[in-house]
Amino acid sequence: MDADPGRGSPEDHALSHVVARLRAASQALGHRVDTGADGLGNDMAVIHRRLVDVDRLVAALVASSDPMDPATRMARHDLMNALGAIDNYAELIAVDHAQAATEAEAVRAAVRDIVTRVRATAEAEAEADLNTP
Amino acid sequence: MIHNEGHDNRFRVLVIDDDPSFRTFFLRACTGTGWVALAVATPEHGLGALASFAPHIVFLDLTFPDMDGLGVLSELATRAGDTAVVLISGCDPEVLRSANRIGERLGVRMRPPLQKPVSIDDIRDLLTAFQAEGNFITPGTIAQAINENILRLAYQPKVSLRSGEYMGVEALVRWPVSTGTISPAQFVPVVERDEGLSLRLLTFVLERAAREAAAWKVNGACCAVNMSALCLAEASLPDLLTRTLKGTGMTPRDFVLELTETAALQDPDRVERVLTALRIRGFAVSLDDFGTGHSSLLHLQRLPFNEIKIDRTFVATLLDNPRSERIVRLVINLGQTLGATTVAEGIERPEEASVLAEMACEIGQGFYYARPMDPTTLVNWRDEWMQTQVEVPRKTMP
Repeated sequence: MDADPGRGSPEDHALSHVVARLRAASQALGHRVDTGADGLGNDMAVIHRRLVDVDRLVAALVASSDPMDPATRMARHDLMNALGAIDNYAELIAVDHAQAATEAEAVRAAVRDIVTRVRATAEAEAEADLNTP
Repeated sequence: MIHNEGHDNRFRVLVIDDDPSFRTFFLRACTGTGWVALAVATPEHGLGALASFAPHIVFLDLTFPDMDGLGVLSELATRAGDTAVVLISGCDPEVLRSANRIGERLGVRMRPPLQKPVSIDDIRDLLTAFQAEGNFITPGTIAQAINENILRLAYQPKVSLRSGEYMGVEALVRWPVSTGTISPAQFVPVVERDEGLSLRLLTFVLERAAREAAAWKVNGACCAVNMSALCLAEASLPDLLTRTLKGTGMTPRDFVLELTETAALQDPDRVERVLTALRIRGFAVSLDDFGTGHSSLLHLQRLPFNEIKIDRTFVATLLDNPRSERIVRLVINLGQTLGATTVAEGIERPEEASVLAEMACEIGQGFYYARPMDPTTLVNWRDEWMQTQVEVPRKTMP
């Protein structure tokens, strides 16, 4: 499930954009590596599987109106774990498969971008909540 | 928990995380680090592995289906012992920081938490820093080093500031390892948090110094041994130390017990009783690092010290800071008034020795005279020193 670009704030649209970038980077990495070699297939499978989680969880975050709502917190936590797994396995691919290092680093850069945006958005919204009379 | 019992000497790390992909990543990240890594999926297995695997450090996820990380921390608090814990989670940063504080309040040895995503370098850097900081030094590993007779003593000579005469030594513990020596600054603080271990180390040092007496004992020379104030909680300390010397040919009169970590002095009545009993048996008792930390005039007023050791920080600034000079003079006068010998440690320059001698400080110790040395080197140094003193008395008051 993709994040819905038709609703939400400009931050949500920006988030959906970097998620799309992550997906594209992951596809490029998948094309680059020989998935039959040295367990790389397993590593790519983790990335593909967790990308599905990322789509679902980003959609949940975009749909949420309260960043401190327990369900939203849990979605953010799960998203960080999913992104963490993608980052971890992209790093392992970069270490084990030097030819794919550039593509793997692009995946990691996209992951970091999403992490930064999600955290910044959560902090900004939480602060706005606190300042609301 | 005693590390290394039934295990080899490698460092062990345990990760408790219900995410299988993270567990696999973690194990692969540890490859080549020299650490033995174990990954388990549930807190139940993790708590079991605390006993069977005896990890030095645990990486703990904060969220599990049946138990949150705080529940695991509470369980860890009663079982982790020396094991350090790193929280690792994708939860919001303030939640992670708060959980870390809770762990600290529970008495768990918390390390700074890691926010997911983490990289291979994050994990490896943390393990490397953990090793470099000497965190593997635990009461268990120290006890093992004592039991296996790995610790050694280095002796730093003490000299009469008036005559230059060799007066004895201070015995200092050294921990040799394959890569060099573990600094006392790394392991002594661990000892001084543990009453049983403080006692064990004290008796070890006393017994070894007595066995090596041929190196330092000449005429009336004494050997000073550091004694943590924690040891004074043991009412039978005087008996224990006297028994330790039995059969060594040495007597309590050959030793000075330098009392350290006086912050730990509690129950003044008992402390007075134990110190008095030590004095009655013949041990001299010295108040170490006087003028800093928690050593106070109250200790001098109440407790039967027969030596005051002026802290090295005053000696180091003696020539440049008039206030230090006045404080040192005052402490020496205080010692004279109370009938206690004054010892200045950390003397590094001849001018410092001269000024201290002029002030009538009685004994000096420091790199100016000699660095701590092994027993064989000490014998040579002593012979050379005595010979020098006969030929040209120097390194004394002009």
